[in-house]
Amino acid sequence: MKHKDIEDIKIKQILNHTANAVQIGVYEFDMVSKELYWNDTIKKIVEVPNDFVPTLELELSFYKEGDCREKARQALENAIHKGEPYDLDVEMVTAKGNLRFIRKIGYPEFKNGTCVKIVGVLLDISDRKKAEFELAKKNQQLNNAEKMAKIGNWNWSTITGELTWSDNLYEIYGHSKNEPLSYEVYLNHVHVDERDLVEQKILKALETGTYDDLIYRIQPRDGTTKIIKSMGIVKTDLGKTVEMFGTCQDITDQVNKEQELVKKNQQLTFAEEMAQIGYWEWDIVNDHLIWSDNMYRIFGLEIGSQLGFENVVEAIHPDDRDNFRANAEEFISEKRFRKFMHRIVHKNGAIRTVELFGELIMDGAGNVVKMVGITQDITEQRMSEIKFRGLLDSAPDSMVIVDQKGTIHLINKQAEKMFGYTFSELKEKHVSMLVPQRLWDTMEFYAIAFFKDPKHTGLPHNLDFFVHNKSGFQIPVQVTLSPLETPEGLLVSIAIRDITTQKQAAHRIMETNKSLKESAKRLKAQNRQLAEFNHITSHNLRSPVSNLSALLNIYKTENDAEMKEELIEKIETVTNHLTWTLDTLVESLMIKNAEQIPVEKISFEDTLSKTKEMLAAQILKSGANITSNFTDAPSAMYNKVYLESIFLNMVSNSLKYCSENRTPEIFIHSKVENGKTQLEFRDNGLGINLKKNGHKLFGFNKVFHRNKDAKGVGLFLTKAQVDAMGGSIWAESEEGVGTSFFINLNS
Amino acid sequence: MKPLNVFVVDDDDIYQFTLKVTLRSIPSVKSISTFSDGAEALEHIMANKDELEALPDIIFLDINMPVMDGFQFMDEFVDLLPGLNKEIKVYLVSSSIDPMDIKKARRIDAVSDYLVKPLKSEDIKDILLQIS
Repeated sequence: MKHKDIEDIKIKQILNHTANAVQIGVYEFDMVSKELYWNDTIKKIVEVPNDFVPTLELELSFYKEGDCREKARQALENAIHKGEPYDLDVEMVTAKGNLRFIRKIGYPEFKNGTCVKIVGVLLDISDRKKAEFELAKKNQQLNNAEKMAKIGNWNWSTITGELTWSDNLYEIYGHSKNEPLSYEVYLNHVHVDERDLVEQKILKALETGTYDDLIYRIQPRDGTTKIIKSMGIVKTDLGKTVEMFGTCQDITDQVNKEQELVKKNQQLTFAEEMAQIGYWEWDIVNDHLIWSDNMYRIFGLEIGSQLGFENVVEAIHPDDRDNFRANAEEFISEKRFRKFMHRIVHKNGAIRTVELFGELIMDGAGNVVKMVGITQDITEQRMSEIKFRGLLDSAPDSMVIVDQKGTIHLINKQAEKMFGYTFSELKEKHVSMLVPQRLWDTMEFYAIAFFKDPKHTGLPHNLDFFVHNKSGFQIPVQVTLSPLETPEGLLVSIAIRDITTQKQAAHRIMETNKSLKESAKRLKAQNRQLAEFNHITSHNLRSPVSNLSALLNIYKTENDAEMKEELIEKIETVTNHLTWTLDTLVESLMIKNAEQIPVEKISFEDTLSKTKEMLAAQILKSGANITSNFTDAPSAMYNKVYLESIFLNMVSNSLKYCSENRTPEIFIHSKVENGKTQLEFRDNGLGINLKKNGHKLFGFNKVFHRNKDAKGVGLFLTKAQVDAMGGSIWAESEEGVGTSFFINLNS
Repeated sequence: MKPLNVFVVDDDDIYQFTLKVTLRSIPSVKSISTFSDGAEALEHIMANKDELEALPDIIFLDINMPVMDGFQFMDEFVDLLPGLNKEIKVYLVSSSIDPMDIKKARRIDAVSDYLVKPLKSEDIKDILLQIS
């Protein structure tokens, strides 16, 4: 072995020992023999046994596949062909599969322009890399923490004026990292109103060495405003300030939330006061009450005073206390809250009415442990309700207040009286309950019309509308509808007026009217009779009197005794006539004046026989044949004298004015027509020209035939009698054929 | 002086008698005819409508009579008048002072006047004097 070779080996051995001792991997690659040498350290690093024989290809396979392996190959190529040394960080995967960070350094050796050898070292830098990673991670975490807490930190060297900010502080201030940063730049970010304050504070810190916490506003470039809380520490050296560092925290959200909370609280309190509502919570187990401020106000108690159930009861109106206790017990046992009202008496004596709404809170076992709810002061509401009720009750008519569906909301006392139901019986019932079914359509028609155009509407007076009460009795009513605007929607107030009395009055008026009409008719008849009587006196009494006067005048101037005797006879005749006229008139007047004419049941058959007896001579003389049919109406309630007179006049007329050419036939018939008893006297006599004489048929002293017995009194008296009994008489006749007289005995 | 034919139409015998007594005392009265109702008088006039001497110059006509009263007579007589070649004066006579009767009488053109019974002899004389 040559000296130099021996020396080489010696150096190599020393180097190897050293390398192994300091954990440095050494390698050598002989380009000629293609042999690769690894010292023990490398074998340890790649975790192969000591007898492992490395090759260049094997070594490459330990580098992490991909970039790392390629990087190592490239470095080797460059070293061999271009003679470039290398120093690279690569990752290796050991024979046992562990990952290692490796630093590989290599130097190529050249002989005659050819690379003959590459010598280098391999360092395991895994631990160092790990520490680096940890640090980066910590930094990242800090940044995140700062970001999350909206905190940034700063450091200001007061000597050099250098100001450094953490990433997040840039973010908070909205300042770009690329822009310069200085104390002046920082000040510019501060809200213009607070810049002086901040500056004074910093100056004070510089002077005194203490940094007071500071809250101020900043205006980032995006136009928003943020609230910053700044804290810091001043570092001094030999009594002189050299550095300041600290944190800035964005507390905008926090402040806003606090302010919002305060505002919300105020609003809630305000709302409670406005609505006159108080909130309460009753811990039943411990008998402890939590009240909102307004709850105390409602009760007139000092805000914040400690309360138990009995304290509350004490504040309640004495009359309502039992009910209050009973309710509380009931709610707990029934496990159900039901709204109720009670009154409170304030210390000054004022009485308030409140309404309670609440619910029960139960534990896992279902026991009621708590009651929570609200109490509303409804004194004013209640007062206006009472006033409204008073108004309603003072209305003279029955009032029923219903909604659009016809559901009854309220009725007044008059309605209770009229319908016989109490309010609770009608509450929430349909209004049709009060109306007979036959009028439901009418009711609906007017309801629809009303809600189409809600205004004060009186149903037509002639509608004939009825309601019925609890016992089904129907009452005639006049109905008026009025709209009633309420928070619950449009209601209709129905005023119902009992018009029974009016109806009765109307009925009486109608009756009176009817009797007045009858009186008028009677008066008219009396007038006609009076006119007739007037006519009789003006004519029938005057004519004999004027005759007397004429005869006396002649008598005075007459000298002839015989003539005078004749005149006396004539005067006697006239006087007799006058007497007869007067008697007849008196008789007729007596008929007409008879107010109470006695009536009895009279048989027509009997009356006719009597008539026949009285006229026996005339009947015999004329050979008249008298027949009758009274089967339909055998009798009548009538005045006996009148009926006999009527029969006598009728039959004697028929006999008197019979035709000489034929045997007189007289037929008398009774029947009932339209509830009236009618008599007919039919003959086959001379007949009367009714066209000419009809108007004076029943007149006094009217005669229609040149019959010496005709006096014109029979029909006159007959009519007077028939009229007096409230009946009527008329005739049908044909000259030369006969006459029929018809008499309706009653009206 | 013109001799006059006078008709008295009245069912009242006494009246007929008293009027005849008065008329007989008047020189211009040539003849007096009496009828008990309008129908009798009308029958006579119709039967003698062409004989001027048998027709009346003046009629004292009663209103109230049986069979045919004074108004009914006038209804028929008015129709007959244009066919008669003689001026006939009609005086309606009645004891009635009923204004209705008087009014009704005055409405008939052919009626010269309405006289109320009893008739005074002076009035009769005046009427007859005017005609003759």
